[in-house]
Amino acid sequence: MGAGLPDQSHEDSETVLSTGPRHETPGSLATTGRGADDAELVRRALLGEYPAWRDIVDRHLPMVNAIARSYRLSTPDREDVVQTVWLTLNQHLPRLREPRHLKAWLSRVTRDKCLRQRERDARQYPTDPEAFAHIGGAAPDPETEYLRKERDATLRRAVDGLRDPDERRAALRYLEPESVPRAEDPRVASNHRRRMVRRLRDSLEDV
Amino acid sequence: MSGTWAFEGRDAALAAFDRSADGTELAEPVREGGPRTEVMRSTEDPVVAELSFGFEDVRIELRLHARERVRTVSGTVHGDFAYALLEARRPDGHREDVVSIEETGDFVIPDLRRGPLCLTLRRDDAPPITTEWFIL
Repeated sequence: MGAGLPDQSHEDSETVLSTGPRHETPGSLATTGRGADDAELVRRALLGEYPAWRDIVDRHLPMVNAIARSYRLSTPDREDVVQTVWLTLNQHLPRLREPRHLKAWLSRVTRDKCLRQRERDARQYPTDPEAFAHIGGAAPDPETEYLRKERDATLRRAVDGLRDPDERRAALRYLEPESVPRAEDPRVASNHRRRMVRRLRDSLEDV
Repeated sequence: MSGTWAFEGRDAALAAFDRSADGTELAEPVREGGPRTEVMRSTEDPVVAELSFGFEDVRIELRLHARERVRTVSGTVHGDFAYALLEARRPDGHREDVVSIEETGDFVIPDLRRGPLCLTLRRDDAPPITTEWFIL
């Protein structure tokens, strides 16, 4: 994407297809698209007019940068986000339904990408394992965790083996209180629970 | 709006201009989120994000793995094709890697650096499909 080398023979032309980066400052821009609205710039950029794309960038890059900075991402992440916003616009240029709303589109896409990047950073933030040494004792070791899962699976199989739906519900309420709504009558629930525990014990003895 | 930072990234933004792929089908993001599955083997790099892209009946599901500065993309391509290749590309047009899709639809692209990436799915009997750019 954007791989083509700048074609020197078209340096002064309005139409440059697939051009590479230009190292010029916004102040030295040609004024071809200054007065054009976004829809017009998009239309011309779609025809391959590099100056139209340049004018889109110069018009909206400060807003994209301001949004990206407001998310307080690291510098490399922010640079990746901003670059990806423009790559995404380039991809979507032929598919924009409302080119005159380009500013809103860019704003939405920038916020979305910043948010995703921030969420991802939160999941991969480098942490010194020593920082957790003091809470290590509270975490179950892998073997305990494995045995817990195996016990849960066995219990779940035993619950699935209960034929009476009420008992099955009561068992589930006992094992996973959040997964089943509470019964109206506490005495009924208590009876079910007693019956269910008895049957579960029987089932587990058979396993 | 002003500031010395206002035009940061301008060169990269200008370089994004490329009309050569306008005819390519674009697979747009369907979902992105944190890892839904537990890492079962410690040898596997941790998954930091899962995302999927869709175009018509093709779905490309990706898992992004990170270990220090090295990134790996693994995933599954769902769709009707006999043979397919997946091409990883960078913003400068550099083709980073090409991998074949297994019969199960699975693939792995290891040893990637951070930064924007897009994937192009090349099938034996259908036009190529390119994913929207995503950050690795």
